[in-house]
Amino acid sequence: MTWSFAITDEQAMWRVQNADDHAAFAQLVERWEQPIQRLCARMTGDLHRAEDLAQEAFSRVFSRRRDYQPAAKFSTWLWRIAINLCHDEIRLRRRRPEHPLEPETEDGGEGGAVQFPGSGLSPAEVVEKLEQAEIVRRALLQLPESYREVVVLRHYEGLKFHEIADVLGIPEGTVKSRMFEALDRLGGILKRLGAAPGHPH
Amino acid sequence: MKHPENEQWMSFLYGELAPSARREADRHLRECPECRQRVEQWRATMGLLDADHATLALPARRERTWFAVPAVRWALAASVVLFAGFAAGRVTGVSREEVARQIAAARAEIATDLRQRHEDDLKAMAAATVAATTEQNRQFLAEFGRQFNAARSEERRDWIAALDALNRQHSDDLAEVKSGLNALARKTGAGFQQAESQLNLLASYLPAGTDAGGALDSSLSKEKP
Ligand SMILES: [Zn+2]
Repeated sequence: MTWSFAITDEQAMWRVQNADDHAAFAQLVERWEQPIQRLCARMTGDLHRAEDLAQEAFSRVFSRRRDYQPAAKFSTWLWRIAINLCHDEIRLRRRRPEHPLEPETEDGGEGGAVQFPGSGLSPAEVVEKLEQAEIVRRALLQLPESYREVVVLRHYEGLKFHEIADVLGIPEGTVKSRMFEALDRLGGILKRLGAAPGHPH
Repeated sequence: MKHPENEQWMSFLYGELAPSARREADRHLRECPECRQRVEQWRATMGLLDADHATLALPARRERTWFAVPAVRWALAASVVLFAGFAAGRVTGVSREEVARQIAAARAEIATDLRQRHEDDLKAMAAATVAATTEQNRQFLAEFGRQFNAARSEERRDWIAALDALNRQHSDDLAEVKSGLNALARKTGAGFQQAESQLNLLASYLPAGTDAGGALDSSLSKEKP
């Protein structure tokens, strides 16, 4: 079943909830798969595992469809489910140190590839960019999770502070104070890791 | 000089201040070297974070099979094992009883798992229904009160009928949930009917005609002696 007009996330979720509408569900997955995968990748430092976690997040959306409150924003609920999965994953890894929290290196696996679409950079510049990105990912992984999730949601996924507050169930002021605390810590970590200090774009 | 709070600067840096507050913050920055230094430092760190914006290339999309749905994956794994068990049984002469025993064990496990999931679903449904009907009632009663006062006496009879209908609906909804839970309780230990329909539902997530889907079907049908 296809629709000739776009429906909102909330309308789609309502159809999933009340009619088990698989087409509406597929549309939600289509829209949100990439952002959720990015979140999981940055939270866990593992691109491949992020793909599984994102699928698991959507399967939870489906199996818990009756829990969804129609008055709530769908994405808030989805981010929360995904964040919780990331926390579970991180906890699990702590107990199994053979899978440490380490950013993946670009090992040529299907997902390790790094792209600069249309950047026109020289190979040397690409390498430098890669190193910078790698350093940034490592730095992020050194932050406590409660700070990391705020940075990922605000800086990379562009949620507003009040939306992050809704996702995490904490006051907006706390989100902001975690944000500046995170930036302060990241500044220090990045310096130690040798990122060039202060090259604002 | 009164410095804006750090929290305020976060809103500033991420463009969440209202225009007037933003102008004020800009003015403060021009006049206050202390805040300027702090804000510049944050900006520099934000700039470094941007290095990771372009480079996070996600894995190539896999065919969406929904094997990741835990119950599916695991029901599938179980059925593949069982299927292999049948094949092996024919070739090596593993006793039929042994295979049947393995199947029974695996299915009992699946059924328990699925029953648990189903029960959770029903409980959630009960909670959601109660919440929804309560909210519905609240809204209806508010509207009812407004209109009732404005209505003529013959109209008031209709309003009362409507209220009655709503209350009946409310108790019907609750009764339905309750009977669902009761039915579930009755079914506990009454065979795999529930699990089987759940398995079929799960199987329907699989692309039609794949080997995996076939294996699931055969394990279900072959179990019957
Ligand atoms: Zn100041």
